[in-house]
Amino acid sequence: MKGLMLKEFYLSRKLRIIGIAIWFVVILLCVLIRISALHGNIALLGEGSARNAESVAWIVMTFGNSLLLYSMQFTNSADADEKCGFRVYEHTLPLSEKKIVGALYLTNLCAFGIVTAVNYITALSACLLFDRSFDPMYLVYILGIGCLAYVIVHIKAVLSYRFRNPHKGQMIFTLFCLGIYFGGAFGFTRWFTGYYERFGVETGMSETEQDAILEAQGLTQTMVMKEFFTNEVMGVVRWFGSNAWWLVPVVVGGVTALCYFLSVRGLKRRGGRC
Amino acid sequence: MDDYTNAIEIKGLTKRYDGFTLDNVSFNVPKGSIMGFIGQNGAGKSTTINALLGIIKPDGGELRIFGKDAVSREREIKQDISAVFDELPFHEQLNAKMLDKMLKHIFREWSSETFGRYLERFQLPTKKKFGQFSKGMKMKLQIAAALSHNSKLLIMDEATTGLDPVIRSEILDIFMEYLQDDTHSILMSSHITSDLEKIADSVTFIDKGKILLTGFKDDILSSHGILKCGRSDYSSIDRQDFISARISDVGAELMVSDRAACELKYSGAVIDNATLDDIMVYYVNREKKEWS
Repeated sequence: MKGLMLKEFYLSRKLRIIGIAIWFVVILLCVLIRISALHGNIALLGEGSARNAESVAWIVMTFGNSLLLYSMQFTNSADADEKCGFRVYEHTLPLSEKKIVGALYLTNLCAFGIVTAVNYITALSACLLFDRSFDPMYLVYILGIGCLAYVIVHIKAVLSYRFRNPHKGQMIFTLFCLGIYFGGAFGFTRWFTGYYERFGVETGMSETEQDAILEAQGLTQTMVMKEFFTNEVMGVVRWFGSNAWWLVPVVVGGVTALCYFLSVRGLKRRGGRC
Repeated sequence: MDDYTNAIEIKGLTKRYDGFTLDNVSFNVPKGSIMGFIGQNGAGKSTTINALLGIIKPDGGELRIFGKDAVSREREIKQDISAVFDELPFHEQLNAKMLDKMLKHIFREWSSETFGRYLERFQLPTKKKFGQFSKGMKMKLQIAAALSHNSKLLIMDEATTGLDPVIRSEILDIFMEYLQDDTHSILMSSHITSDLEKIADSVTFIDKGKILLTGFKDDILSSHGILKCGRSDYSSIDRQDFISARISDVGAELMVSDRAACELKYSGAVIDNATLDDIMVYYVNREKKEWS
Protein backbone atom coordinates (compact mmCIF):
# COMPACT_ATOMS: atom_id res chain seq x y z
CA MET A 1 0.00 0.00 0.00
CA LYS A 2 2.90 2.33 0.78
CA GLY A 3 4.05 1.96 -2.83
CA LEU A 4 0.71 3.11 -4.17
CA MET A 5 0.62 5.97 -1.68
CA LEU A 6 3.98 7.05 -3.06
CA LYS A 7 2.50 6.92 -6.55
CA GLU A 8 -0.36 9.19 -5.45
CA PHE A 9 2.18 11.53 -3.94
CA TYR A 10 4.38 11.61 -7.05
CA LEU A 11 1.45 12.17 -9.38
CA SER A 12 -0.02 15.05 -7.41
CA ARG A 13 3.33 16.59 -6.50
CA LYS A 14 3.22 19.28 -9.19
CA LEU A 15 -0.32 20.34 -8.30
CA ARG A 16 0.56 20.40 -4.61
CA ILE A 17 3.58 22.62 -5.22
CA ILE A 18 1.45 25.01 -7.30
CA GLY A 19 -1.16 25.02 -4.50
CA ILE A 20 1.45 25.83 -1.86
CA ALA A 21 2.91 28.59 -4.07
CA ILE A 22 -0.51 30.22 -4.56
CA TRP A 23 -1.27 29.84 -0.85
CA PHE A 24 2.01 31.55 -0.01
CA VAL A 25 1.40 34.41 -2.49
CA VAL A 26 -2.10 34.96 -1.02
CA ILE A 27 -0.62 35.15 2.50
CA LEU A 28 1.98 37.60 1.27
CA LEU A 29 -0.73 39.77 -0.31
CA CYS A 30 -2.73 39.72 2.94
CA VAL A 31 0.33 40.79 4.92
CA LEU A 32 0.95 43.62 2.42
CA ILE A 33 -2.69 44.72 2.72
CA ARG A 34 -2.34 44.80 6.51
CA ILE A 35 0.85 46.87 6.28
CA SER A 36 -0.77 49.17 3.75
CA ALA A 37 -3.88 49.52 5.92
CA LEU A 38 -1.72 50.55 8.86
CA HIS A 39 0.90 52.73 7.21
CA GLY A 40 0.42 52.76 3.44
CA ASN A 41 -1.96 53.83 0.67
CA ILE A 42 -4.99 51.96 2.03
CA ALA A 43 -4.66 53.90 5.32
CA LEU A 44 -4.92 57.11 3.30
CA LEU A 45 -8.39 56.05 2.01
CA GLY A 46 -9.86 56.48 5.46
CA GLU A 47 -10.59 54.34 8.48
CA GLY A 48 -13.70 52.63 7.02
CA SER A 49 -11.99 51.62 3.80
CA ALA A 50 -8.94 50.37 5.67
CA ARG A 51 -11.14 48.31 7.99
CA ASN A 52 -13.04 46.82 5.04
CA ALA A 53 -9.84 45.94 3.21
CA GLU A 54 -8.45 44.36 6.37
CA SER A 55 -11.64 42.34 6.94
CA VAL A 56 -11.56 40.96 3.42
CA ALA A 57 -7.83 40.16 3.71
CA TRP A 58 -8.41 38.43 7.06
CA ILE A 59 -11.29 36.32 5.68
CA VAL A 60 -9.23 35.39 2.62
CA MET A 61 -6.20 34.48 4.71
CA THR A 62 -8.16 32.49 7.27
CA PHE A 63 -10.90 30.77 5.28
CA GLY A 64 -10.30 31.36 1.56
CA ASN A 65 -6.74 30.14 1.81
CA SER A 66 -7.93 27.08 3.78
CA LEU A 67 -10.23 26.11 0.94
CA LEU A 68 -7.46 26.67 -1.59
CA LEU A 69 -4.97 24.57 0.32
CA TYR A 70 -7.42 21.74 0.98
CA SER A 71 -8.65 21.55 -2.60
CA MET A 72 -5.13 21.47 -4.03
CA GLN A 73 -3.65 18.97 -1.60
CA PHE A 74 -6.16 16.18 -2.04
CA THR A 75 -5.44 13.69 -4.77
CA ASN A 76 -7.40 11.36 -7.02
CA SER A 77 -5.39 9.55 -9.67
CA ALA A 78 -8.11 6.99 -10.46
CA ASP A 79 -8.94 8.53 -13.84
CA ALA A 80 -5.26 8.87 -14.75
CA ASP A 81 -4.71 5.21 -13.76
CA GLU A 82 -7.47 4.18 -16.13
CA LYS A 83 -6.15 6.30 -19.01
CA CYS A 84 -2.53 5.14 -18.85
CA GLY A 85 -3.28 1.46 -18.25
CA PHE A 86 -2.05 1.39 -14.66
CA ARG A 87 -5.47 0.08 -13.60
CA VAL A 88 -4.75 -3.13 -15.55
CA TYR A 89 -1.21 -3.36 -14.17
CA GLU A 90 -2.55 -2.84 -10.64
CA HIS A 91 -4.50 -6.08 -10.95
CA THR A 92 -1.26 -7.96 -11.57
CA LEU A 93 0.25 -6.69 -8.32
CA PRO A 94 0.00 -8.67 -5.09
CA LEU A 95 -2.47 -6.18 -3.62
CA SER A 96 -6.13 -6.49 -2.78
CA GLU A 97 -8.71 -4.01 -4.05
CA LYS A 98 -9.08 -2.77 -0.46
CA LYS A 99 -5.42 -1.84 -0.39
CA ILE A 100 -5.46 -0.30 -3.85
CA VAL A 101 -8.38 1.98 -2.98
CA GLY A 102 -7.13 2.38 0.60
CA ALA A 103 -3.88 3.91 -0.66
CA LEU A 104 -5.81 6.81 -2.20
CA TYR A 105 -7.99 7.35 0.86
CA LEU A 106 -5.09 7.12 3.27
CA THR A 107 -3.00 9.57 1.23
CA ASN A 108 -5.86 12.05 1.42
CA LEU A 109 -6.33 11.41 5.14
CA CYS A 110 -2.66 12.22 5.72
CA ALA A 111 -3.01 15.34 3.57
CA PHE A 112 -6.14 16.26 5.54
CA GLY A 113 -4.28 16.08 8.85
CA ILE A 114 -1.28 18.08 7.65
CA VAL A 115 -3.34 20.73 5.82
CA THR A 116 -5.68 21.15 8.81
CA ALA A 117 -2.70 21.76 11.10
CA VAL A 118 -1.23 24.27 8.62
CA ASN A 119 -4.60 26.02 8.26
CA TYR A 120 -5.01 26.28 12.03
CA ILE A 121 -1.58 27.85 12.35
CA THR A 122 -2.42 30.21 9.46
CA ALA A 123 -5.73 31.18 11.10
CA LEU A 124 -3.99 31.88 14.40
CA SER A 125 -1.32 33.91 12.59
CA ALA A 126 -4.02 35.84 10.69
CA CYS A 127 -5.72 36.76 13.97
CA LEU A 128 -2.41 37.97 15.42
CA LEU A 129 -1.54 39.85 12.22
CA PHE A 130 -4.91 41.57 11.92
CA ASP A 131 -5.20 42.11 15.66
CA ARG A 132 -8.38 40.09 16.08
CA SER A 133 -9.39 37.87 18.94
CA PHE A 134 -9.13 34.18 18.13
CA ASP A 135 -12.51 32.49 18.31
CA PRO A 136 -12.19 28.68 18.77
CA MET A 137 -15.16 28.39 16.40
CA TYR A 138 -12.77 29.28 13.56
CA LEU A 139 -11.22 25.86 14.03
CA VAL A 140 -14.61 24.26 13.48
CA TYR A 141 -15.25 26.36 10.36
CA ILE A 142 -11.87 25.42 8.89
CA LEU A 143 -12.49 21.79 9.70
CA GLY A 144 -15.88 22.09 7.97
CA ILE A 145 -14.24 23.47 4.82
CA GLY A 146 -11.73 20.63 4.90
CA CYS A 147 -14.42 18.02 5.40
CA LEU A 148 -16.40 19.36 2.45
CA ALA A 149 -13.36 19.20 0.15
CA TYR A 150 -12.48 15.74 1.53
CA VAL A 151 -15.95 14.37 0.87
CA ILE A 152 -16.13 15.86 -2.64
CA VAL A 153 -12.80 14.37 -3.71
CA HIS A 154 -13.94 10.93 -2.56
CA ILE A 155 -17.32 11.16 -4.27
CA LYS A 156 -15.32 11.86 -7.43
CA ALA A 157 -13.16 8.82 -6.63
CA VAL A 158 -16.24 6.57 -6.37
CA LEU A 159 -17.34 7.64 -9.85
CA SER A 160 -13.83 7.08 -11.21
CA TYR A 161 -13.71 3.53 -9.83
CA ARG A 162 -17.31 2.78 -10.76
CA PHE A 163 -17.12 3.82 -14.41
CA ARG A 164 -14.49 2.53 -16.78
CA ASN A 165 -14.77 5.61 -18.97
CA PRO A 166 -13.26 8.64 -17.17
CA HIS A 167 -15.41 10.99 -19.29
CA LYS A 168 -18.58 9.30 -18.07
CA GLY A 169 -17.44 9.62 -14.45
CA GLN A 170 -16.57 13.26 -15.01
CA MET A 171 -19.93 13.93 -16.62
CA ILE A 172 -21.85 12.38 -13.73
CA PHE A 173 -19.70 14.28 -11.24
CA THR A 174 -20.42 17.54 -13.07
CA LEU A 175 -24.15 16.78 -13.01
CA PHE A 176 -23.88 15.99 -9.28
CA CYS A 177 -22.10 19.32 -8.65
CA LEU A 178 -24.67 21.21 -10.72
CA GLY A 179 -27.45 19.50 -8.76
CA ILE A 180 -25.84 20.54 -5.48
CA TYR A 181 -25.30 24.07 -6.78
CA PHE A 182 -28.82 24.62 -8.07
CA GLY A 183 -30.38 22.83 -5.11
CA GLY A 184 -28.32 24.98 -2.73
CA ALA A 185 -29.13 28.16 -4.64
CA PHE A 186 -32.85 27.35 -4.63
CA GLY A 187 -32.85 26.56 -0.90
CA PHE A 188 -30.81 29.63 -0.09
CA THR A 189 -33.11 31.89 -2.16
CA ARG A 190 -36.18 30.46 -0.41
CA TRP A 191 -34.55 31.06 2.94
CA PHE A 192 -33.64 34.65 2.06
CA THR A 193 -37.10 35.35 0.62
CA GLY A 194 -38.71 34.05 3.81
CA TYR A 195 -36.47 36.34 5.87
CA TYR A 196 -37.24 39.31 3.60
CA GLU A 197 -40.98 38.76 3.96
CA ARG A 198 -40.64 39.35 7.70
CA PHE A 199 -40.20 43.05 6.87
CA GLY A 200 -43.51 43.13 4.99
CA VAL A 201 -41.93 42.80 1.57
CA GLU A 202 -43.82 40.43 -0.70
CA THR A 203 -42.76 38.65 -3.86
CA GLY A 204 -43.91 40.40 -7.03
CA MET A 205 -43.39 43.89 -5.56
CA SER A 206 -41.36 46.34 -7.59
CA GLU A 207 -37.97 47.59 -6.37
CA THR A 208 -39.47 50.99 -5.53
CA GLU A 209 -42.27 49.42 -3.46
CA GLN A 210 -39.75 47.25 -1.62
CA ASP A 211 -37.50 50.26 -0.92
CA ALA A 212 -40.48 52.30 0.33
CA ILE A 213 -41.56 49.57 2.78
CA LEU A 214 -38.02 49.14 4.09
CA GLU A 215 -37.43 52.89 4.31
CA ALA A 216 -40.53 53.23 6.48
CA GLN A 217 -38.77 50.89 8.96
CA GLY A 218 -35.49 52.81 8.70
CA LEU A 219 -33.86 50.06 6.60
CA THR A 220 -32.30 49.58 3.17
CA GLN A 221 -31.94 46.41 1.05
CA THR A 222 -28.19 46.31 1.81
CA MET A 223 -28.85 46.50 5.54
CA VAL A 224 -31.38 43.65 5.36
CA MET A 225 -28.95 41.56 3.37
CA LYS A 226 -26.16 42.25 5.87
CA GLU A 227 -28.44 41.37 8.75
CA PHE A 228 -29.49 38.18 7.00
CA PHE A 229 -25.88 37.06 6.77
CA THR A 230 -24.80 38.15 10.24
CA ASN A 231 -27.89 37.01 12.11
CA GLU A 232 -29.43 34.18 10.11
CA VAL A 233 -26.62 32.50 8.21
CA MET A 234 -23.90 33.00 10.80
CA GLY A 235 -26.43 32.22 13.52
CA VAL A 236 -27.03 28.79 12.04
CA VAL A 237 -23.29 28.27 11.55
CA ARG A 238 -22.59 29.33 15.16
CA TRP A 239 -25.40 27.15 16.49
CA PHE A 240 -24.10 24.21 14.47
CA GLY A 241 -20.55 24.84 15.65
CA SER A 242 -21.60 24.96 19.32
CA ASN A 243 -24.24 22.25 19.46
CA ALA A 244 -23.85 19.85 16.58
CA TRP A 245 -20.16 20.07 15.62
CA TRP A 246 -19.82 16.36 16.36
CA LEU A 247 -22.08 15.71 13.40
CA VAL A 248 -19.30 16.87 11.05
CA PRO A 249 -16.86 14.01 11.79
CA VAL A 250 -19.77 11.55 12.01
CA VAL A 251 -21.19 12.56 8.61
CA VAL A 252 -17.76 12.89 6.98
CA GLY A 253 -16.62 9.57 8.45
CA GLY A 254 -19.82 7.87 7.30
CA VAL A 255 -19.70 9.34 3.79
CA THR A 256 -15.99 8.47 3.48
CA ALA A 257 -16.61 4.90 4.63
CA LEU A 258 -19.46 4.60 2.13
CA CYS A 259 -17.29 6.08 -0.65
CA TYR A 260 -14.50 3.63 0.24
CA PHE A 261 -16.88 0.67 0.19
CA LEU A 262 -18.37 1.74 -3.16
CA SER A 263 -14.91 2.38 -4.64
CA VAL A 264 -13.73 -1.12 -3.64
CA ARG A 265 -16.91 -2.60 -5.10
CA GLY A 266 -16.45 -0.59 -8.28
CA LEU A 267 -12.88 -1.84 -8.66
CA LYS A 268 -13.90 -5.44 -7.90
CA ARG A 269 -16.78 -5.32 -10.33
CA ARG A 270 -14.44 -4.69 -13.23
CA GLY A 271 -11.68 -6.76 -11.77
CA GLY A 272 -11.05 -10.42 -12.17
CA ARG A 273 -12.11 -11.86 -8.87
CA CYS A 274 -14.14 -15.04 -9.02
CA MET B 1 6.96 -23.48 -3.66
CA ASP B 2 9.04 -25.30 -6.28
CA ASP B 3 7.09 -28.53 -5.94
CA TYR B 4 5.10 -28.31 -9.17
CA THR B 5 5.57 -29.52 -12.71
CA ASN B 6 3.57 -26.92 -14.61
CA ALA B 7 4.03 -23.21 -13.98
CA ILE B 8 0.59 -22.66 -15.49
CA GLU B 9 -2.33 -25.08 -15.78
CA ILE B 10 -5.45 -23.89 -17.53
CA LYS B 11 -8.43 -26.23 -17.69
CA GLY B 12 -11.68 -25.42 -19.45
CA LEU B 13 -11.28 -21.67 -19.23
CA THR B 14 -14.41 -19.96 -20.52
CA LYS B 15 -15.26 -16.31 -20.88
CA ARG B 16 -18.24 -15.00 -22.78
CA TYR B 17 -18.48 -11.55 -24.35
CA ASP B 18 -20.99 -10.18 -26.77
CA GLY B 19 -19.72 -11.54 -30.10
CA PHE B 20 -16.79 -13.51 -28.70
CA THR B 21 -16.41 -16.57 -26.52
CA LEU B 22 -13.26 -17.99 -25.08
CA ASP B 23 -14.33 -21.57 -25.31
CA ASN B 24 -13.04 -24.24 -22.96
CA VAL B 25 -9.38 -23.27 -23.25
CA SER B 26 -6.94 -25.75 -21.73
CA PHE B 27 -3.17 -25.93 -21.86
CA ASN B 28 -0.15 -26.14 -19.56
CA VAL B 29 3.12 -24.25 -19.41
CA PRO B 30 5.78 -26.60 -18.02
CA LYS B 31 8.07 -25.24 -15.33
CA GLY B 32 11.36 -23.92 -16.66
CA SER B 33 10.10 -23.47 -20.20
CA ILE B 34 8.95 -20.74 -22.50
CA MET B 35 5.62 -21.11 -24.23
CA GLY B 36 4.62 -19.13 -27.26
CA PHE B 37 0.95 -18.26 -27.35
CA ILE B 38 0.05 -17.64 -30.95
CA GLY B 39 -3.05 -16.43 -32.68
CA GLN B 40 -4.53 -13.71 -34.83
CA ASN B 41 -5.67 -10.40 -33.40
CA GLY B 42 -8.89 -11.06 -31.52
CA ALA B 43 -8.24 -14.80 -31.25
CA GLY B 44 -8.44 -14.76 -27.45
CA LYS B 45 -4.79 -14.47 -26.40
CA SER B 46 -5.24 -11.34 -24.30
CA THR B 47 -8.50 -12.63 -22.81
CA THR B 48 -6.73 -15.79 -21.68
CA ILE B 49 -3.83 -13.81 -20.24
CA ASN B 50 -6.15 -11.31 -18.55
CA ALA B 51 -8.07 -14.16 -16.93
CA LEU B 52 -4.81 -15.69 -15.80
CA LEU B 53 -3.64 -12.43 -14.28
CA GLY B 54 -6.97 -11.76 -12.59
CA ILE B 55 -7.71 -8.70 -14.72
CA ILE B 56 -11.01 -10.17 -15.90
CA LYS B 57 -13.32 -12.60 -14.19
CA PRO B 58 -13.65 -15.93 -16.03
CA ASP B 59 -17.10 -17.48 -16.43
CA GLY B 60 -15.75 -20.97 -15.91
CA GLY B 61 -12.70 -23.16 -15.75
CA GLU B 62 -9.78 -23.78 -13.50
CA LEU B 63 -6.60 -21.74 -13.38
CA ARG B 64 -3.58 -22.96 -11.48
CA ILE B 65 -0.26 -21.19 -11.19
CA PHE B 66 2.71 -22.92 -9.53
CA GLY B 67 0.25 -25.71 -8.74
CA LYS B 68 -1.94 -23.39 -6.65
CA ASP B 69 -5.41 -22.13 -7.36
CA ALA B 70 -4.94 -18.78 -9.10
CA VAL B 71 -8.09 -17.29 -7.60
CA SER B 72 -8.06 -18.28 -3.94
CA ARG B 73 -4.29 -17.82 -3.54
CA GLU B 74 -3.99 -14.87 -5.84
CA ARG B 75 -2.01 -12.51 -3.56
CA GLU B 76 0.57 -15.13 -2.69
CA ILE B 77 1.00 -16.15 -6.34
CA LYS B 78 1.29 -12.61 -7.62
CA GLN B 79 4.43 -11.98 -5.62
CA ASP B 80 6.09 -14.38 -8.06
CA ILE B 81 4.49 -13.23 -11.31
CA SER B 82 5.53 -10.44 -13.63
CA ALA B 83 3.39 -9.10 -16.42
CA VAL B 84 4.59 -7.20 -19.46
CA PHE B 85 2.08 -5.53 -21.78
CA ASP B 86 2.34 -4.08 -25.26
CA GLU B 87 1.88 -0.56 -23.86
CA LEU B 88 3.67 0.95 -20.87
CA PRO B 89 1.20 0.85 -17.98
CA PHE B 90 2.95 3.53 -15.94
CA HIS B 91 2.09 7.20 -15.72
CA GLU B 92 4.01 9.48 -18.05
CA GLN B 93 4.91 11.86 -15.20
CA LEU B 94 6.85 9.16 -13.35
CA ASN B 95 10.49 8.26 -13.80
CA ALA B 96 12.52 5.12 -13.12
CA LYS B 97 13.70 6.35 -9.72
CA MET B 98 10.12 6.88 -8.58
CA LEU B 99 9.06 3.52 -9.98
CA ASP B 100 11.85 1.83 -8.03
CA LYS B 101 10.64 3.43 -4.78
CA MET B 102 7.02 2.47 -5.52
CA LEU B 103 7.63 -1.15 -6.42
CA LYS B 104 10.07 -1.62 -3.55
CA HIS B 105 7.10 -1.30 -1.21
CA ILE B 106 4.87 -3.61 -3.25
CA PHE B 107 7.03 -6.66 -4.00
CA ARG B 108 8.63 -8.47 -1.08
CA GLU B 109 11.64 -9.48 -3.13
CA TRP B 110 12.09 -6.28 -5.10
CA SER B 111 15.76 -5.53 -5.67
CA SER B 112 16.67 -1.91 -6.40
CA GLU B 113 20.15 -3.14 -7.23
CA THR B 114 18.87 -5.52 -9.93
CA PHE B 115 16.56 -2.85 -11.29
CA GLY B 116 19.46 -0.39 -11.41
CA ARG B 117 21.61 -2.96 -13.22
CA TYR B 118 18.93 -3.50 -15.86
CA LEU B 119 18.46 0.25 -16.30
CA GLU B 120 22.19 0.58 -16.83
CA ARG B 121 22.28 -2.36 -19.22
CA PHE B 122 19.38 -0.97 -21.23
CA GLN B 123 20.85 2.53 -21.03
CA LEU B 124 17.65 3.88 -19.55
CA PRO B 125 17.83 7.23 -17.74
CA THR B 126 16.65 7.21 -14.13
CA LYS B 127 15.34 10.76 -13.97
CA LYS B 128 13.76 11.14 -17.40
CA LYS B 129 9.96 11.01 -17.38
CA PHE B 130 8.40 7.98 -19.06
CA GLY B 131 6.42 10.27 -21.35
CA GLN B 132 9.71 11.13 -23.08
CA PHE B 133 10.67 7.46 -23.61
CA SER B 134 10.61 5.83 -27.04
CA LYS B 135 8.57 2.64 -27.63
CA GLY B 136 11.71 0.50 -27.27
CA MET B 137 12.73 2.25 -24.04
CA LYS B 138 9.25 1.75 -22.60
CA MET B 139 9.36 -1.95 -23.34
CA LYS B 140 12.84 -2.30 -21.85
CA LEU B 141 11.66 -0.46 -18.76
CA GLN B 142 8.72 -2.86 -18.34
CA ILE B 143 11.06 -5.81 -18.69
CA ALA B 144 13.52 -4.30 -16.19
CA ALA B 145 10.67 -3.86 -13.69
CA ALA B 146 9.36 -7.36 -14.40
CA LEU B 147 12.72 -9.00 -13.78
CA SER B 148 13.66 -7.10 -10.64
CA HIS B 149 11.57 -8.89 -8.04
CA ASN B 150 12.77 -12.44 -8.56
CA SER B 151 9.54 -13.55 -10.20
CA LYS B 152 9.18 -17.17 -11.21
CA LEU B 153 6.79 -16.56 -14.06
CA LEU B 154 6.85 -13.92 -16.74
CA ILE B 155 3.62 -13.36 -18.67
CA MET B 156 3.88 -11.20 -21.73
CA ASP B 157 1.06 -9.95 -23.88
CA GLU B 158 2.29 -8.87 -27.31
CA ALA B 159 5.35 -7.43 -25.63
CA THR B 160 7.61 -7.43 -28.69
CA THR B 161 5.01 -6.10 -31.12
CA GLY B 162 6.06 -2.86 -32.76
CA LEU B 163 9.71 -3.13 -31.77
CA ASP B 164 12.56 -3.09 -34.24
CA PRO B 165 14.52 -6.34 -34.79
CA VAL B 166 17.59 -5.13 -32.87
CA ILE B 167 15.64 -4.39 -29.70
CA ARG B 168 13.59 -7.59 -30.11
CA SER B 169 16.75 -9.63 -30.37
CA GLU B 170 18.19 -7.92 -27.27
CA ILE B 171 15.00 -8.66 -25.35
CA LEU B 172 14.96 -12.29 -26.47
CA ASP B 173 18.52 -12.67 -25.18
CA ILE B 174 17.38 -11.44 -21.79
CA PHE B 175 14.58 -13.98 -21.76
CA MET B 176 17.09 -16.71 -22.48
CA GLU B 177 19.19 -15.53 -19.54
CA TYR B 178 16.09 -15.48 -17.36
CA LEU B 179 15.39 -19.08 -18.31
CA GLN B 180 18.83 -20.18 -17.19
CA ASP B 181 17.22 -20.67 -13.81
CA ASP B 182 15.10 -23.78 -14.35
CA THR B 183 12.40 -22.58 -11.93
CA HIS B 184 11.65 -19.65 -14.22
CA SER B 185 8.96 -19.91 -16.90
CA ILE B 186 7.59 -17.61 -19.58
CA LEU B 187 4.25 -17.40 -21.33
CA MET B 188 4.63 -15.11 -24.29
CA SER B 189 1.77 -14.14 -26.55
CA SER B 190 2.75 -12.79 -29.90
CA HIS B 191 1.92 -12.87 -33.54
CA ILE B 192 5.57 -12.43 -34.45
CA THR B 193 6.15 -16.15 -34.81
CA SER B 194 9.79 -15.80 -35.87
CA ASP B 195 10.65 -14.69 -32.31
CA LEU B 196 8.87 -17.68 -30.85
CA GLU B 197 10.51 -20.01 -33.30
CA LYS B 198 13.86 -18.84 -31.93
CA ILE B 199 13.18 -19.19 -28.23
CA ALA B 200 9.96 -21.09 -27.45
CA ASP B 201 10.04 -24.62 -26.07
CA SER B 202 6.34 -25.15 -26.57
CA VAL B 203 3.62 -23.45 -28.54
CA THR B 204 -0.14 -23.02 -28.20
CA PHE B 205 -2.26 -21.88 -31.11
CA ILE B 206 -5.57 -20.20 -30.45
CA ASP B 207 -8.16 -19.14 -32.97
CA LYS B 208 -11.65 -17.69 -32.45
CA GLY B 209 -11.45 -18.48 -28.74
CA LYS B 210 -10.53 -22.14 -29.21
CA ILE B 211 -7.22 -23.90 -28.80
CA LEU B 212 -6.19 -25.51 -32.08
CA LEU B 213 -2.83 -26.91 -31.14
CA THR B 214 -0.68 -27.12 -28.08
CA GLY B 215 2.57 -28.96 -27.54
CA PHE B 216 6.31 -28.83 -27.85
CA LYS B 217 7.42 -26.58 -30.69
CA ASP B 218 9.81 -29.12 -32.19
CA ASP B 219 7.10 -31.81 -32.21
CA ILE B 220 4.63 -29.46 -33.88
CA LEU B 221 7.16 -28.33 -36.47
CA SER B 222 8.31 -31.87 -37.23
CA SER B 223 4.80 -33.31 -37.51
CA HIS B 224 3.55 -30.54 -39.81
CA GLY B 225 4.62 -30.00 -43.36
CA ILE B 226 3.58 -28.33 -46.59
CA LEU B 227 2.76 -30.82 -49.31
CA LYS B 228 3.24 -29.32 -52.75
CA CYS B 229 1.50 -30.79 -55.75
CA GLY B 230 0.02 -29.96 -59.10
CA ARG B 231 -3.68 -29.25 -59.54
CA SER B 232 -4.30 -32.69 -61.03
CA ASP B 233 -2.65 -34.47 -58.08
CA TYR B 234 -4.53 -32.27 -55.62
CA SER B 235 -7.88 -33.78 -56.52
CA SER B 236 -6.59 -37.24 -55.62
CA ILE B 237 -5.59 -36.20 -52.07
CA ASP B 238 -7.95 -37.22 -49.31
CA ARG B 239 -9.44 -34.08 -47.71
CA GLN B 240 -9.07 -35.60 -44.24
CA ASP B 241 -5.30 -35.64 -44.67
CA PHE B 242 -4.72 -31.92 -44.74
CA ILE B 243 -5.73 -28.91 -42.66
CA SER B 244 -6.24 -26.50 -45.53
CA ALA B 245 -4.86 -25.91 -49.00
CA ARG B 246 -3.58 -22.82 -50.74
CA ILE B 247 -4.59 -23.09 -54.36
CA SER B 248 -2.72 -21.22 -57.06
CA ASP B 249 -2.70 -21.30 -60.85
CA VAL B 250 0.19 -23.72 -60.92
CA GLY B 251 -0.80 -26.07 -58.15
CA ALA B 252 -1.64 -26.45 -54.49
CA GLU B 253 0.15 -26.25 -51.17
CA LEU B 254 -1.43 -28.31 -48.43
CA MET B 255 -0.72 -28.19 -44.71
CA VAL B 256 -0.50 -31.71 -43.34
CA SER B 257 -0.48 -32.41 -39.63
CA ASP B 258 0.92 -35.94 -39.89
CA ARG B 259 3.87 -35.54 -42.14
CA ALA B 260 5.24 -39.08 -41.72
CA ALA B 261 1.91 -40.71 -42.60
CA CYS B 262 1.48 -38.47 -45.64
CA GLU B 263 4.97 -39.25 -46.86
CA LEU B 264 4.04 -42.92 -46.81
CA LYS B 265 0.58 -42.47 -48.28
CA TYR B 266 1.58 -40.07 -51.05
CA SER B 267 5.01 -41.38 -51.93
CA GLY B 268 6.82 -39.09 -54.26
CA ALA B 269 5.05 -36.00 -53.01
CA VAL B 270 7.24 -33.10 -51.92
CA ILE B 271 6.64 -32.15 -48.29
CA ASP B 272 8.51 -29.06 -47.13
CA ASN B 273 9.12 -27.96 -43.56
CA ALA B 274 6.47 -25.66 -42.17
CA THR B 275 7.14 -22.60 -40.05
CA LEU B 276 4.93 -21.49 -37.17
CA ASP B 277 3.73 -18.72 -39.43
CA ASP B 278 2.66 -21.25 -42.08
CA ILE B 279 0.93 -23.40 -39.50
CA MET B 280 -0.97 -20.39 -38.15
CA VAL B 281 -2.10 -19.26 -41.59
CA TYR B 282 -3.24 -22.72 -42.71
CA TYR B 283 -5.03 -23.43 -39.45
CA VAL B 284 -6.82 -20.09 -39.52
CA ASN B 285 -8.16 -21.03 -42.98
CA ARG B 286 -9.11 -24.57 -41.95
CA GLU B 287 -12.85 -23.91 -42.21
CA LYS B 288 -12.58 -22.73 -45.80
CA LYS B 289 -10.35 -25.73 -46.53
CA GLU B 290 -9.27 -24.16 -49.84
CA TRP B 291 -7.98 -20.64 -50.21
CA SER B 292 -5.72 -18.68 -52.47
